[in-house]
Amino acid sequence: MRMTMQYYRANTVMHRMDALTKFLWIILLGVLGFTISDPLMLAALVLALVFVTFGLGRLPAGMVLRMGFYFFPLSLAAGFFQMVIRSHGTTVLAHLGPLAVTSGGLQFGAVFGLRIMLIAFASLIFVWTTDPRDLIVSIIYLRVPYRIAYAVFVALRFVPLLENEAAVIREAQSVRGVEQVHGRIESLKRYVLPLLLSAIRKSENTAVAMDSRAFGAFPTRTYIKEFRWTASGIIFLMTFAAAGAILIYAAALRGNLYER
Amino acid sequence: MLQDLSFEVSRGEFVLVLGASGAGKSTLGLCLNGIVPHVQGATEGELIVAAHRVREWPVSTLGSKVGIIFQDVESQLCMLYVRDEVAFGPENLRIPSAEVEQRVSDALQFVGLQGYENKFVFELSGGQKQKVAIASVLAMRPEILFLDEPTANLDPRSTNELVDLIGRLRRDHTILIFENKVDQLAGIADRLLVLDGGRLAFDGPVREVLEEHGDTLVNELGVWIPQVSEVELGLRRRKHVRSAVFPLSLNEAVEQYAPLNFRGEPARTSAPRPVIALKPTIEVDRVGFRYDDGTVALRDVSFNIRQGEKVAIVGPNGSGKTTISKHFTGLLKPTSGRVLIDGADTHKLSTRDLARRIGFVFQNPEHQFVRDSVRDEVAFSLRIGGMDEAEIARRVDHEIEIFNLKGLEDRHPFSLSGGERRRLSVATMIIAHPEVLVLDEPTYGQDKSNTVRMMDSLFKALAEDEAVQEITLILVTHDMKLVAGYAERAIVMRQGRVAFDGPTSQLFLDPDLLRDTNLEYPPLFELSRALRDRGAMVPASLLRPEDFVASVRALQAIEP
Amino acid sequence: MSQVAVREPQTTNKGRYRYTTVDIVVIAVIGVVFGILNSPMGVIYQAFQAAFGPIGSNIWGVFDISQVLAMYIVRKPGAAFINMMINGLVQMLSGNPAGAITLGWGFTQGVGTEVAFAVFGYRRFDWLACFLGGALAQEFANFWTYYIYGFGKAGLGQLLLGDLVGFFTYGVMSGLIAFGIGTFLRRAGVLKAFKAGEQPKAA
Ligand SMILES: Nc1ncnc2c1ncn2[C@@H]1O[C@H](COP(=O)(O)OP(=O)(O)OP(=O)(O)O)[C@@H](O)[C@H]1O
Ligand SMILES: Nc1ncnc2c1ncn2[C@@H]1O[C@H](COP(=O)(O)OP(=O)(O)OP(=O)(O)O)[C@@H](O)[C@H]1O
Ligand SMILES: [Mg+2]
Ligand SMILES: [Mg+2]
Repeated sequence: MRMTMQYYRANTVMHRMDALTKFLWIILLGVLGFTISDPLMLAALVLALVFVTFGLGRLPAGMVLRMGFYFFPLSLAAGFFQMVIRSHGTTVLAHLGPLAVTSGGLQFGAVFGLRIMLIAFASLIFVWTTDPRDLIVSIIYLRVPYRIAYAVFVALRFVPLLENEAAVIREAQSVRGVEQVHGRIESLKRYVLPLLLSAIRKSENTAVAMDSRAFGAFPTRTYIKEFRWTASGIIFLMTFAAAGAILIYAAALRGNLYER
Repeated sequence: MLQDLSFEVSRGEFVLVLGASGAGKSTLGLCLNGIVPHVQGATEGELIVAAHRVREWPVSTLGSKVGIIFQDVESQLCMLYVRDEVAFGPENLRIPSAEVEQRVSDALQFVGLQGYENKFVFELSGGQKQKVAIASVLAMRPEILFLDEPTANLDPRSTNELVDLIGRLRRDHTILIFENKVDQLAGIADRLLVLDGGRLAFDGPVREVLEEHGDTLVNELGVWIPQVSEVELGLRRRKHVRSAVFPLSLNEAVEQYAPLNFRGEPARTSAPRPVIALKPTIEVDRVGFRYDDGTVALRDVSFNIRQGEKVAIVGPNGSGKTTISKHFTGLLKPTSGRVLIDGADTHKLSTRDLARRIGFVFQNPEHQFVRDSVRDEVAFSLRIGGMDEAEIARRVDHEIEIFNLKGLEDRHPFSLSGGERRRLSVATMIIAHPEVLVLDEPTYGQDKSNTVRMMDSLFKALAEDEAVQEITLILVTHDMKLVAGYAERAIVMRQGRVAFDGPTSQLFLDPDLLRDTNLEYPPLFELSRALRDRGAMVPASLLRPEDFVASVRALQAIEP
Repeated sequence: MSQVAVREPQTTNKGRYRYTTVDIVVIAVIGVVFGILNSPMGVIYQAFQAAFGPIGSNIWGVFDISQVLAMYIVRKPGAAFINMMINGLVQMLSGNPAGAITLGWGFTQGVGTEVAFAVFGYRRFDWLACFLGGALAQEFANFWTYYIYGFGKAGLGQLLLGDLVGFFTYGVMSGLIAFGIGTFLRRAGVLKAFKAGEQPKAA
C-alpha cells in the first residue's frame, strides 16, 4: 500500500468543518465504542458513519470501498481473537479445530470488532475530509510551536519525493547486478542506507532553503488561513454526543455497559 | 572551499559566474545570504551585502536582501501547496496576510504561474517547480538574486522561458547566475566572474575576459563558453581571421562571419564509424507502455539498434526517453509489443541476466552507489564478476585517471560534489565493458571539462580497448550539443512516439520537426543556417566549433 | 565602501538544546523514510498482533528504528517524541488501517524512547542507550496496545511474556539496528550538520 495522502479534495459540509471538532468527534466515538458493549448499538453507530461518509462528505464509493478492503480484515481479526479468548462459560455453539466458539465469545468478538471498525472508520472520514494545511494550522492553534508543527508539512512533502527515490534505488541496485540479497542486514544496508543518505542530504538542502526564507526568525508568524471553529462542526459534534448519551442510557438499561 | 576572494558588484549589475565542478560556486552563494557562517562553515575577511555586514545580521534579514535559487530544485521546495510555498517567506517575516496574498499573486504572475496557487508542488513538472522556487524567493522582495544552475535539467523550451524570465528580472534586481548553458546568457550579462578551485581566476566585462582568456577557460579550467566565441578563438588562432567585435551571441557572429568565404564541402575531422554487425543487438517491436498510475508513456514504438552504433534518444521532458531506455535493461517490460536483446525477449529475462551486458547510468548518479569508497565503487562490478585483484587494481586506477577522479579514491561517494558523482557513476559502468551502455542525461549539471573529458575518455576507451570497441552507446538527452558532437544517429521521441529516426545531420535539416518537439538547434547550426541565408557558402552539417573553423578558407595562404 | 547599516547587538538563545531548522527537518524526514519502509510491514504487524495476541504484537520489532535514529542524530531532548508524533500523524494521513490509534502508539513509543535516553541524561548515545531506547519504546507501547485491543483478558502470564519478548526483539531489531545505521551515517561524514557529527569518535 503506497504511502500517499488520502485527503480527497472537495467542498462539502464535512470538508468545511474545522479539523479540531472532527478530531474531537473521533475521540467521542472511541469513548462510545469502549463504553457500549452492545453489538447492535455499535452497528447503528457504524451505519451513522456510512451516512456521514456519503451523505455529508459525498465521498466516492470506489475510494471508500478500496480503503475498506484494508480496514475490514483488521477489525475482523481483532474480533476473532477476542472471541477465542473470551469463551467464559456460555453455551458452546461450534468447534473450530481446537478453539471453542461460544455465544458469549461470539457476542464479545462482534463488539470488539465493531469497536475497532468505529475508530478506524471515523479516522478515515477525518483523513478524507481534512486538508493537511488546515490540520497543521489547528495544531499551531493548540500552542504547539510552529517550527515543530511545520515539520509535518515537510514530512508530507517528502513522502512522494522519497517514494520515487526508493523506487529508483531499487532499479539502480538491480541494474548494478546486485543480487536480491536475502540476508536481513545486507538487504537493509543495500537499500535503506542509500535512501537515508539521500534523505539526510535533501533535508540539509531543505533546511538551508527554509532558513534563507527566514524560517524560525521570529517566535510567531502570520498565516493566510488561520484556524477558526466552525458552527457546523459544533452542531455535528453535539448531535453525535446526544445520540451517544441516549445509546449509553439504553445500553445501561440492557445491562451490557462498559464490559471490558 | 573559497580562498581570498575579493570583488565588488554594484546595484543592477548582471554577473555571470563560471567555474568547473567543485570550483566553489554553490559555496559562494551560501556566503551571500549568511548561511555561511551562521548555519554552516566559517569565514574570514569582510563580506557586505546590500549595505549589511553579513557576519552581523541574521539569515532572516539577509534573506530579504539576497534571494537564492538552489541547485537542487526538488529539495528547496518544502511545502505541499504552491501558495504555501510562495507565501512561506513573507509569513515567516510576519507580514500581514493581506499583503502576503498580494505578494503571492504578484510573484506567480511574474513567473507565469497565475492560477496555480492550489496545485500540489509535487505534481508539477521540473520547469514549473523551478518557477515556483523563483516565485517563492521573489515574494521576499530581495534586491539581489543568486541562481545556481537553474536550467540544469530543463528541456530547451523551459530553458528559453527561464532565460526570458531572467532577462525581465534584471530590470530591478542585481543578479549573479551560474549556468553551464552560457550560449544565451553571455550576450546579456555585463560581467564575468570565473572561479577555479575556490580562487577568483578572472573578473571583468564578459567580452574582455572571453577575448583574452577564452582559451585558458576552455582548455585549462574546463568551462563552457559560447560556441560562437569558441569559433572566433579558433579562427583567430588557426586562420588569422579577426572579427572587429569579439562575438558573444549568434547575431554578433552572423554580422562578423557573413563576408568570410567558406570551403564547399565540410572538412569533417572524424570519419563516421562503419557499422559492422548485421544482427541488431536491440530490437524494439511495436512497444507500448503504461505506468501503474495509468500514464501512457510509450505508444507503438519500433526501432533496431546494431552493435557498435552511437545513437542519441532525444525529445522534450516527459516524451518517454527514460521509459524506453529502461526497457533495454529489463527494468520495465512492455505492456504491448516486445523488446529483444540479442534475440532474447526481455519478458523472459531478469535485470540480473541483462545487468552484465547492458550498462545503465542513471540521471541521478548517487542512487547507483553500493560501496563506501570511490575505489571500491569502481571495482564493484569487476569483483562480482570474479576478476583477480591485481587486474582489478590496474583497471580501476586507469579508470580513475580517465574520469578525473584522482585524489578522491578514499572519499565516500556521497561526499563528492554533483559533477564528481556523475563521473564516478559512468566510470563504474564502463569498467565492466558492457555490450551496450545507456547514459541517461549524462550532461545533467556538468561543466564543459567534465562532459568533454567524460565523453572523450569514453570514446578513447572505445577506440583503444579491443573489448570495448564494439560497445553500443545510447545517449538519452535534450542537450543537442552532445547529440551533434557524439551521436551518428538520432531517435526523436514525442509524446511516447518515434517522431524521427535517422542520421543526426539529417535531423538538423528538418526545422519544423525540431520546432514541434521543442528541440533547439545546436548554436553552431543556427549560425551556419543564418550565414547561408546571407548567401555564404557554408556547409550544412557543421555542428562542432572545430568543424566550423576547419571549413573557413584562410585569408592568407597559411594553413594549419 | 558604501555606508554600512549598523545593527544593535542581539542575543540569540544559542541554548545547548535549541532545535535548529535542520534538526526539525531531519526528525520529520527520518520518520518518512521508515514510514515508507514500514508501510508494507504495517499491515503484516496488524495481522500478527491480532492473530497471536500480546506475543504476536511483540515479534516484529522494526517499528522503533525511526525515533531511536532521530535521537541518535539530533541528540536533543524531545527528538524521539516529536519524530514519533509526526510518524503517527503521517501514518494516519496515509491511510494506516489503525487510523487514530497510530497516534497512541506514536505517543507511547516516543515517550518510551525519551525515558531511555533521559536515564542517561541525554549524554550517552552508544549501543546500550539505543538498545534501551528500542526496548522501552515497546514496553510503553504495550500499555496502549493491550488497552485498545483488550488483551487484558488474555491473562497476566501472557502479557508479561509478551513484554519480555518485546523488550529483547525491539531492543535488538529497533535499538541496535538504529545504532548501526547511525554509526554508518556518522562514518560516511553525512551528519556534520548535527550534534552526532560534532565529537570525533566519542559515542
Ligand atoms: N557540505 C559539504 N561538506 C564538505 N565538502 C563540501 C560540501 N559541499 C561542497 N563541498 C566540497 O567543496 C568543493 C566546492 O563545492 P561546491 O558545491 O561549492 O562546488 P560547485 O562549483 O557548486 O560544484 P558543482 O558545479 O558540481 O555544483 C567541492 O570539492 C565539494 O566536494
Ligand atoms: N514512475 C512513474 N510513474 C508514473 N508516471 C511516470 C513515471 N515515470 C515517468 N512517468 C511519466 O511517463 C512519461 C514519460 O516519462 P519519461 O521519464 O520517460 O520522460 P523523459 O523523456 O525521460 O523526461 P525527462 O526529459 O524529464 O527525463 C511522463 O509523462 C512521465 O510523467
Ligand atoms: Mg554547485
Ligand atoms: Mg528522463
